Amino acid sequence: MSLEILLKVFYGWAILLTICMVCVAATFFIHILVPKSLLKTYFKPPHFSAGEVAIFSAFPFMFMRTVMFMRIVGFPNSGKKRGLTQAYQLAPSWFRLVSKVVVGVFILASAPMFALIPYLYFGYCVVHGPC
Amino acid sequence: MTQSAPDYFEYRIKAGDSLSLIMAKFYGVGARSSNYSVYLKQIMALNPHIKDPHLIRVGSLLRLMAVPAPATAIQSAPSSPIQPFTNPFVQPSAAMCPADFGPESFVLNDVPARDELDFWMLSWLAQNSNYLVIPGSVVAGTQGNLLSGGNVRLVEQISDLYAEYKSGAITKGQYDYKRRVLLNQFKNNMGPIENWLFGNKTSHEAIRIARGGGIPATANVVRHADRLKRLASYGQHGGYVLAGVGVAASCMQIADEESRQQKNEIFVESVTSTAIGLAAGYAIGLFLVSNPVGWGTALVLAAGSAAASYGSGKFARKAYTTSGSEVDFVSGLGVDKICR
Repeated sequence: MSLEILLKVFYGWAILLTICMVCVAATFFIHILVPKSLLKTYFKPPHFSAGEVAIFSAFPFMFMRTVMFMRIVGFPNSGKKRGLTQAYQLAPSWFRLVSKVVVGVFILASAPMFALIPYLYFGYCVVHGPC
Repeated sequence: MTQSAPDYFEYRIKAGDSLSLIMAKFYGVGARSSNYSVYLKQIMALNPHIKDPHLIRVGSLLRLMAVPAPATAIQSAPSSPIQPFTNPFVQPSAAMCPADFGPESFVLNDVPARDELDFWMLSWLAQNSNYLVIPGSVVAGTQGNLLSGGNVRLVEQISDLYAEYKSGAITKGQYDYKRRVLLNQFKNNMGPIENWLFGNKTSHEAIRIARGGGIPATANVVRHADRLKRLASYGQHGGYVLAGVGVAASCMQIADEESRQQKNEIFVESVTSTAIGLAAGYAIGLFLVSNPVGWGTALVLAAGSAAASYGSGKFARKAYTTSGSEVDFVSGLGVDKICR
């Protein structure tokens, strides 16, 4: 493995990480736009345990709640286990579209980004000697 | 015992200081002066804990020659051992020199003794915040969120139940059953932190009606509910505080370093670990919605993402160091203007 190849892979990885960060930043903004009716109806037992409700209600885990509802709204089938397949009906169409795009882009970018981390690590060890 | 005049004094390193600046300030020796290296050697000999003259830490103490030896004399014997000092300006005391935080024999001249421990602790925190902030955020966030209003309300409902029982609205059996249901729910929500909250007792043992005279029957329950509320308020603010400490500490570390290289290394490490941590948190959120998990798996996921975040930061720093460090992020992004 040459340094040039490793550098190209690294630049690609950096681009993927940047895309992921854009999605994260977008989610911080979307957090304040999540429909209240959606949370009021579904963010409670039996869909979420009391412990989960407590954990995902305050900083910093409240943003994970937003991510969860974005996935449920954008991809309704993902809520089967929690009985949330109908939750998307309480969200406006723009929220469904935005959720689908942001979550979809994040999944497409983050999967190779995380997969490349061990490759970069071991590639670096090969080029620069034992890590 | 006769005490001679002190040969050195101690100076607390401040933000923005460098050895060059300190030498210029106290001895009028510029970086281009022919005596610069001589003075530098003398300071290094007086401060054997400093391994790299480019790396001095804000808040640590520097021994400086009270009367520097003539340059020629030093040049003639640059490696001569420094004689031990027997009479510093202030005799060190145990209270002023916490062994865990600072060099044993160092004393502070400009900080009151009562503030000394706080000072060292804050300095230590600034330098080691990475080891605290990630796990600290998880702990504080978990604590605060688990003890949020819903769970505290479960405890408070026991007082209401007792009032209903005493007023004859419910029977003893109904009261016992409902109390047990509430406490079971509370216990399940608390998970492993139940032991931490109540010591060796279970929720059922700790949250009981007071049988002793002289206090209200619900005194125990009210006391525990108040305590939980207080702990919750600490935890809920703890997440914000720790996040703020993390950012501030990284900024302080960048400000404290002299070399551009070191500043960039810290910046690269902080940004990479934060970014990977955020991405991991995002991915975990996506995973959890379709895969409800228990306490054990949740802790493994949290620990895994924290480890990935920490490891990625360290690796990014190493990669930046060995790859030539061509890009100056700190100057280019204006970080050094904010963190100074």
